Order: sequence, then C-alpha cells, then structure tokens
Amino acid sequence: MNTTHLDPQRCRCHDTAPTTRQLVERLIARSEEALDHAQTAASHARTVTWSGSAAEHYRDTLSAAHAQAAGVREGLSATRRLAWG
Amino acid sequence: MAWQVSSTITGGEARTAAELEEFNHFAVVLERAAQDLESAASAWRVGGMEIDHHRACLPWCPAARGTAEPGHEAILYPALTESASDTVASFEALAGRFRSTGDLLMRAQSLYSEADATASRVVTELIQLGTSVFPGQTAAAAAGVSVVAGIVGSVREGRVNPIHMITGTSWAQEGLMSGLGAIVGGKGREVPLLGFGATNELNMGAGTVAKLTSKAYDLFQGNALQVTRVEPNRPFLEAPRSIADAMANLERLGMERLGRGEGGTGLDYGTIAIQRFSHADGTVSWLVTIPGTDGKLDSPFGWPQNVELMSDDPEQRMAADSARMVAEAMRRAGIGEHEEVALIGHSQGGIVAATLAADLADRYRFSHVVTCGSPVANHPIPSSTWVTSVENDDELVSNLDGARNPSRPTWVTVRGTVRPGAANADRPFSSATVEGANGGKELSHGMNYLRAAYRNASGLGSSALQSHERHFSAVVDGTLEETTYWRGRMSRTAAVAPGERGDVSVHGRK
Repeated sequence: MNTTHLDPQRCRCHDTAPTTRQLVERLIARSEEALDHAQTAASHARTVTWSGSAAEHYRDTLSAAHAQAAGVREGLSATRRLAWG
Repeated sequence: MAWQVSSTITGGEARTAAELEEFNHFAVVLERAAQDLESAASAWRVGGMEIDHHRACLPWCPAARGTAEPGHEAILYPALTESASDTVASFEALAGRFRSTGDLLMRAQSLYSEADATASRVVTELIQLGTSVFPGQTAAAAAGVSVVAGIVGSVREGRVNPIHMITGTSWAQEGLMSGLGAIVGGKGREVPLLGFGATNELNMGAGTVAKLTSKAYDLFQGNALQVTRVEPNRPFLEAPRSIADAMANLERLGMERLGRGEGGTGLDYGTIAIQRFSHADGTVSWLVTIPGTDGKLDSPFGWPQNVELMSDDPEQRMAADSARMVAEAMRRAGIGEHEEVALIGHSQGGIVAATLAADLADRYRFSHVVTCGSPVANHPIPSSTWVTSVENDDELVSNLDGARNPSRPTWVTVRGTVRPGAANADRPFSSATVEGANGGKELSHGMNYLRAAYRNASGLGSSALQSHERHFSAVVDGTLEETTYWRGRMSRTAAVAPGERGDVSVHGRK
C-alpha cells in the first residue's frame, strides 16, 4: 500500500534528495575548478607575442571565452537553487 | 554546396627556440583548458543520468513530477535534469572555443606543420617502400581504397561523384607516386630501403618516360616552336601589388585564354604575360605570369610536356616546349641578366617557373617564384630564390612529385584542406570560402580553391608568410611600365603563317 500519499514525511524523497544534492555539489565544485583554470588560461594566453588581425581576433575570442565562463558559473548557481529549493 | 579551405604554413624563416617555446606553451595551456572543460561536460552528462535515475526511484513523489508539495523535499527533478543537460552543452561550447583558439594559434605559428610534415614523410616513404617491393598488391590495395572512398564520398554527397576516388586517397598519393617513379626510373629494382632517404624517385621515373613520350609527341605535334607577341583588344592585366593580386591575375589570364574569362581581349591558349616595372632608384624588375596546361594540340602547354618538365635531367626539362616558349618570350621581352625577375605559375605553369629558376639561374636573376598547384618539390631551385608554393591536400597534382616541398628559410608552402560548407563568420580565420564553387565535390586544383587557401593563410599573421609577401611585393611595387603578351604554337615546319602579326621567332628542339 502506498503510504506517501497519506504521510509525506515517510516519502522516499527524504532519503534520495540528500544523495542528489551531494552529487550536484560535487559536480558544481569540479565545474568551478575547471572554470577557474579556463579563466586563468584565457587571461594568460592573451599575453602571447603576436600581432596582426588574426592576433587581435585571438585576443578578442579569449576575452569572450572569459566572459562565457562567467556565464556558465552563473548557470551553476541556478542549478544549485533547483537542487536546494 | 559551398566549400571552404583551411590552411597551414610550412617553411620560411625558422623561429627562435624561445619563440617556439612561448607559442607551444600557450597552445598547451589552451588545449589543457579545453580538456578540463570537456571533462566537466562528461561529468555532468553522467551526473545528469544519475539524477534522472534518482527521479525514477520516486514514482509516487510530486518532486519527481516537478511539483512542490508541503512535506516533500523541495527538489524539482525534471528541471534539475534539464539543467544538467544545459550545463553539458555550455561546457562543450566553451571547450570548443578554447580548442579553436588554440588551433588558430598553432596554425598561425606553423606549430602543426613541422610535426605533420615529418609524420607525412614517414607515411609517404612507407607507402613508397610497399609500392616498390609489392607493386601489384599495393596497386590493388590503392584501387580498393579508392573505390571505397568513392562510394563513401558519393553517399555523403547524395549523388555519384567519382572525384571522391581521387580526393579520398590524397593521404597516400605522394607515396604511391614516389613508388611508381622508383619502379619506372629503375630505382625500385635496387634494395628498396636505399630509396628511403630520397625524395626524387618520381622525377627519375618521369625522365625515363619522357625519353619516349617526347619523341613520340614530336612526331605528332612537331617540334618547331613559334613565339608571337600578341596585343589584346583592350587593357587586361593590372599591376599586382601582392602575391594575392598576382594569383588573381594568373586566374584571369588562365580563364581568358581558354574563352572562359571576361572576354573581349582576343587572347587565346598558349599565352603568357610579362610585366615590366620601373623603380625610383632607376632599376627595372619583371613579373612573368604563366597559366597551366591548356591541352590544345598545337600548344606548347599540352599534356605530354608535363612529363618532360618533371624530369630529373635539366636538359630534358628545358627541352619541354612550354619551358622553351617562356624562356624565348623572356629573351624577346628584353629581361636583363641583373634585373630581378619574379615568376608565378599554375599547374604546368608553376613547373615551368620552377624549371626556369632551377636551370636558367646563371642567365637571369630569379628573385621569387610563386607556384600554385604545382609538383615542384624536387626541382633544384637555388636557395637564393624565394619560393612561395600554394597547394591543396586533395588536388592530386601537387602530390605528383612524390614528396613534400623543402622546408627552408626561403621556401614557404601554404597547404590547404578543403571541407564542405561556407566559412563560419564567427570564426573568420579558421577558413576561407571558395569563390565560384557551389556544386558537388571537385578537384581543388582550380585557382579559385588555391586562392582561398592563400587567403586563409595570409590572414593568420604568420611572420614566415609575411616575410615572403614583403619579398615578392618588393619586386612588383614599382611603376608598371608595360604588360606584354606572348603566344606559343607548335608545328612540324618552321614556316611563319602568312599575315601573322607582331614579331615572330621560330625555334626547333636542340
């Protein structure tokens, strides 16, 4: 007999949700580390000795990538909110 | 379907060790960032499946259906699963951006090219070895690969297109040509490993073949060469100021002389152009523009002449009708022995340019040679002559020399890889769209494909290519004083046709 319909406190979600949240936190921690590395790489790689229009495009792309990484980071915050309510 | 070309650059002035280390360092930094981000994407992909599994274990819980209800955990599984999927896409897109930026750096600084050239040389020599030792089996294997490539390519394109049989085997063509040359030239009968260090087997083979074909073709075509100065009906070629401009002129002349150009000039097959420039310091320089094979029966630029031009024997090379024709036109144009000369040629025209630079170096001051789609790797062009070669991976013709071009400070090779689709406007330096190519797969030997390869390469800011551009431009940056056009015809007799206008000179083969 399904008792969750009668007693929400006995729903299995109370056992499963912590596991899900731990998984999400682990994924977010790993992702933030990768994003930190990527943003550092983008800033560092802009300093290469290279001139011309291709070089300008290269630096512009790395600046855009740095900003894109910041956007992904905000997305992780939104994901965290979905896990914690 | 549109087509695009992405280029790498080999040769030119060597980087310092410090420069190479700097570029390599940043290329590694960007690649590691891309790999980290891809790893994060993979983790979210797996994590998303695990989250979905958690949801599936809660069939009666409103959280699993995405509904918040009092007393249950406030975790909305469907939205969380979708967010995980979006995060995968975000990390993959970011990884792609880092990787493409690293690729731009590597191509612009030729970091791919040297390693690729070495690896390619190993593959080429192994295939040559196989061809020499097991010619029948290698030929059968090559035919099999070619058929499969033709089928796969045709299926992808959605129609039967035999061109894929050629382009799909581009990675093996140099080795096969080299092995064939070794057999024909007699080197295949020696211990095969002795051929491992050499690169001119095909030229030796061409020399052997040309001894027969030139005599046979002379019986058919005649060996009396008539060189006539012709006047176009209107001004035609403009002054080029760069290698790209000169390639544009080469394409225009090539199309015009075959009746496929703008029209109205009256220029026809077997025609080349010689331009004279004057400089502020009183010096004079020249540019000779040489289109490729026209295949006309009385043209010095017929198909059989290609074989002679590829010979490893300098006398045999210079005996080719097209080489004789251009040499005679240069003499008649009045090019002085101390005046700088640049040559640019497409296909056979490029082989002629390389032949003249190699074999008439004691008669003229050949400053710069530009070859477009020409198999000239083994032509002994002096290192004092700068060479800029433009080739495409799958055009076949450039691979007919059986070797990669020399990589030296005064020889730069731009090598294009052709892919379907137009260039991505968001990645302006990754490739260049081919003008006038909107159909199925075709051989990328046409000047429009080669110009796209050069256009992509010249945008990369490679110091090696920029150096070659400056060197070429110095020859053509004077005032264009005159453009003359010269037409060659072959016949069995030395008689000049009645009513022939302009100067005429007639030469038989030595």
